[in-house]
Amino acid sequence: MAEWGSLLYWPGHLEGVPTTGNAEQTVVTSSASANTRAASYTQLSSSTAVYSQGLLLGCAPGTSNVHYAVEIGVGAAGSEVNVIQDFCGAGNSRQTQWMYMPVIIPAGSRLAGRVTASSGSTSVVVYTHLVDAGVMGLPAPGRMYALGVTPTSGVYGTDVTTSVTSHNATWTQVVASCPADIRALTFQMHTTNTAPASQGLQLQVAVGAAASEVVIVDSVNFTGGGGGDQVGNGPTGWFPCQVPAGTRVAARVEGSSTADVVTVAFHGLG
Amino acid sequence: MAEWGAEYSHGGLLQNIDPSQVGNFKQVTSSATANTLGSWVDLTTNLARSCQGFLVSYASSSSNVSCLMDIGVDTSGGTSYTVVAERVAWFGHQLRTTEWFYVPIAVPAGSRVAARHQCSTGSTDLRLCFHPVYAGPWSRPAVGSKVVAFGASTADSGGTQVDGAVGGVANTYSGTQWTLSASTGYDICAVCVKVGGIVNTAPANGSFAFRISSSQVIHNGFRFASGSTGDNYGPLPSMWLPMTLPAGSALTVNAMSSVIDATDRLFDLVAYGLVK
Repeated sequence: MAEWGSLLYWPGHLEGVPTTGNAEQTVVTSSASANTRAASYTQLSSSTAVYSQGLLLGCAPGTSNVHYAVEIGVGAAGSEVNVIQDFCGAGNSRQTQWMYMPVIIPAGSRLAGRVTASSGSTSVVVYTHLVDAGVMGLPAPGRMYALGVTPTSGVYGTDVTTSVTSHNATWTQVVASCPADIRALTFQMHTTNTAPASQGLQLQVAVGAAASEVVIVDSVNFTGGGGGDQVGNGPTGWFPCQVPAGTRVAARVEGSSTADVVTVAFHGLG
Repeated sequence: MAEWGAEYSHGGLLQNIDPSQVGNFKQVTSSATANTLGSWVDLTTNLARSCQGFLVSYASSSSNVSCLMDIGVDTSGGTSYTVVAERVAWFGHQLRTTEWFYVPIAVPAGSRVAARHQCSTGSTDLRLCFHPVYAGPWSRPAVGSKVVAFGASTADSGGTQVDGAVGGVANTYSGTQWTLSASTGYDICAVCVKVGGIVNTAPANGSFAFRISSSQVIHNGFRFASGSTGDNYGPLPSMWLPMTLPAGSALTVNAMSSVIDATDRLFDLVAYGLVK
């Protein structure tokens, strides 16, 4: 049988939170005011059943064409600590978007979620899953940073105007200065455009000062669709990098046929 | 900075095989005859550098279709392909919904990599992008030999049809188990799952949870949504769970659903096993 790293000696196991009950799980609703944090978290689990080394988050919005950001907190009511910070998405209603976060959550933990959205009272079905063993081989769990995402200012990522010129697009700054050393990146691509062009799209990520960018991700291909307001999905995994605190990170997206706008959000693992 | 192991020292992590092309996809078309494999289409004719695995992103420009795709490799650069990943599903999502599938199999430099697929409707395209992965998290596990499908149906290019509300009972796991494999036939070291909507063109808004079991439960309450905007079930992330399944293991699934409509409560499921 295959050899796994030390994090992976245990067999993998995925445990829904909870495993039984309503399949719809928990609907979390944003504040009645747009771009405003909800006053409190909504409980997802009063006590997690198993120890986990990862949290798989799925989000299915109840409304199309709305940006949303989901936070997952651990801890007693009113004292939640973020373990997933502002996972951003938008697109067709009910289209599930995913994030896997390598974070240790002891059995017996209370899990809760909170949604901020570009339209008030937006509902998002939040699916959480505990993963017993590391899935994608990250060396250690860590703290996640949402980069260039400030939902309370209406920023659910950075709008990148696509270019149809091969690899000559202008870089768009996503984060001016990383708040911490980042050792892995993941990205989400989404849009609130109600009629995005049907075309192939290609994301590149670079670090460095303006006009001196160095590509670190080349290239992630995905699609934009005329059927609903969707681009992506993006891949769910984390990609290793070594980006020191203070580094500028930029992105560009190229389309195969049409200039369009794609919202790009990064999360870094510190 | 956190230290990555030696296997991460390349720094480079993911690269499209030919980044000079914008929107760089390869169009792979199924046979004109429904549920019949089409011809191989090259994703790369000469892999420039050995990779530890590869990601495929893929979407169709059609809605309401089910597709099963094979990915083949000829390490000598010829066209005698060995299928390294079989019946990879794209199941009737809204057109252009991108699915991802990670194939954790090393491919040597100089290889030719190609794909073909069958579809529930003839002459349907899948648009693929091939991303070699040279290092990093995606490369675990790095040394599988083949990805095999359990529960795929070549008769309709779908998966095993699972009822989430047997007898019209919502939100309750059925006692009925659907068999994905009575006997896996290989030693399996990791499992991945894809779901779809059986070409349901107007599913109700709902949620599903499923359990995949062998001698023990592997996925216990894996949830996803269905939606009325397009024929949308899921999709699920491409995520391999390490799991030791000796050859001869059975693999079954049961499920629950928040919807009870006789059509809308059904979904497709295919499990994939990584063969050591």
